[in-house]
Amino acid sequence: MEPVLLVDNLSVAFPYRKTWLEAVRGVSFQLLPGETMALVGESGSGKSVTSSAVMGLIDPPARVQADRLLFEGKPLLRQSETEWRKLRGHKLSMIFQDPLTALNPVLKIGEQVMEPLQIHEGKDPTSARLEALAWLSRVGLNQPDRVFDSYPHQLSGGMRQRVVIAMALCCRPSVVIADEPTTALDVTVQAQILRLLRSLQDEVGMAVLLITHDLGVVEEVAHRVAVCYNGQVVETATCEELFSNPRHPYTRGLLDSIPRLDRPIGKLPSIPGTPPSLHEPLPGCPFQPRCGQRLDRCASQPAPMLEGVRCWLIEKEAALESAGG
Amino acid sequence: MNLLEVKDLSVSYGKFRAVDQVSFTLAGGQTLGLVGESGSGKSTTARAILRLVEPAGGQILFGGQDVIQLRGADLQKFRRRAQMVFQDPYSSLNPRRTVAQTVLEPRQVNALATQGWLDRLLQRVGLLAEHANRFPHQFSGGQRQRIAIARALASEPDLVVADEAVSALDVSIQAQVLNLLADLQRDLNLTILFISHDLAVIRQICSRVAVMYLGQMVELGPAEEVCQRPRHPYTANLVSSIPGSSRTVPLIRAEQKTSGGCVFAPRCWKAQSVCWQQRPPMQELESSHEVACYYPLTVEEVVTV
Repeated sequence: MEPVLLVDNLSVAFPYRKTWLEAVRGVSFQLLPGETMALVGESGSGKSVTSSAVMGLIDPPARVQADRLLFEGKPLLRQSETEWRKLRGHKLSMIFQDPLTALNPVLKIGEQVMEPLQIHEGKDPTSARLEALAWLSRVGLNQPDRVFDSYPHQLSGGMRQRVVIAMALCCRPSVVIADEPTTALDVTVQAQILRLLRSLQDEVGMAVLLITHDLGVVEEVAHRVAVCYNGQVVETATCEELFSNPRHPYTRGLLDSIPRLDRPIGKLPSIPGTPPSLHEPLPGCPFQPRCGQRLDRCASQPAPMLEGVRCWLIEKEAALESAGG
Repeated sequence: MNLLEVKDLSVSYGKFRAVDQVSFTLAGGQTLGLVGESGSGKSTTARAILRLVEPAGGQILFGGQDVIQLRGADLQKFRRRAQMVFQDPYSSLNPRRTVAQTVLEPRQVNALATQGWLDRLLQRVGLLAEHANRFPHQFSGGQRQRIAIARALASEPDLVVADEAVSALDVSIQAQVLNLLADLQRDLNLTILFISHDLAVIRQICSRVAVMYLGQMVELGPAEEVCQRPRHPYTANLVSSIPGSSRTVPLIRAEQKTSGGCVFAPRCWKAQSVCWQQRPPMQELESSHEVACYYPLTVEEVVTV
């Protein structure tokens, strides 16, 4: 199957006091039609910068480079702003973390949901209105007419996020980027929104690039996962593989350090130290100072990506295996 | 001996009743978690206990003293014995003060500060003595929260209230700070009131947990038991909503307001007419496990949840 989104060796750097801060360093992944792939990582891992770069939201003087950045086979880099505008909110749309800032506070909900339909699909006001109402009820809002005539501040956080989802999906996009779509919501509301996203995905068939720090959310909705650390992808796997057999030491540490109800109470295994600063990039593996299994070469040589894992241990295992048999 | 006794505490913001007749006790050296979603009144409860907001009614006894009646020197003395750690270490630390100035302030008020003491305290929370003269912006979020914890411990308090103290931290850092709090609690025999929206975090650090919903307490019991065998329908829903949970409970309906009845009735799948008419009182189901519900989940239901 042709990937609907292909990101090959993406780098994003921001100018800072005569040097460059590399927020994303050689990220590659692909998104297949209809699947959900999660980019998961902590603050500063580069996950949100990656999604902004894919949406064309990073302007000079920042630098976006990639060997290939293709959406439905078409290159995204060096598109004109006019071409971007045709694409964004139409076939490539985005759901943001905070629905209160994503919505315009002085426009009624109805106008905001109608807008993409009128601009991208050329619908006249009457049919756009009907379709907007249909979408408001499809995202589980009980009284679509009332919501249609409300302002954002009159709705609860969960309702607002449903509206944002309706806006992102009403033009039936092929890719939706959801950047922390449930982080601002309470946990019972989060469960409802995740359920909604899954059922709409079955209906609309879009691919979802989910950006999150929450491995619980990943487990709930993603098919595949890319774990980000310090601007790089350190492990990619299917969701089952990642949770049953995490291979990168960072992934393992991250999974172990989450408090869970289904685990006996005891001291939480934690990862010592903090992620390295972007100001002083490390020559070898960025996780090496915090890693309990580091090898001699980890400090000096960047680890290669082998079997979807960016770690020297994998190479060592492979070498042992081929020597043994 | 109960260090803290809260009886029928109510707090209002104007006409809005943020906390409605909440009662619980906390014994010295024990840990109690307050869990709830936005608007449940968990933070307001904590603030009322520390006299950061004035209660509209009820009683707060701290070491037998009525906190609400404290004035002047007595109130100052109380503030020394009850400290708080806030959620966001970026806004809770003064950016223009060094670590030493921040951490020593509560101590200087009491004229007890010495250099050796400061070094030991910084070490105790996992910082280095040489960090004393740095400013907050030179630290990461996790380190800042350690500074905030050191400040809270500086006056050697009896009670520490931690309001979402690890919620703003990344997972790998959150685990470090949770472990630190658990160690401090054990070593210093601290009494902790730990407020969080995350039941799994509370279970990690608290022996008991109180569940709040729209200003009222709906369940109170041993943390492990409440997590594994929730008896109030709302708690059951909360537990099953945690991502990765294999449990499922009936979908809850959209929020509506009630007057007079159970606060959860409009969303509850078990609600009967009595639930709409009369607020259910807290009743003990088994030893020290209380629920405010006319139709708590039965053991069979809990198993299938």
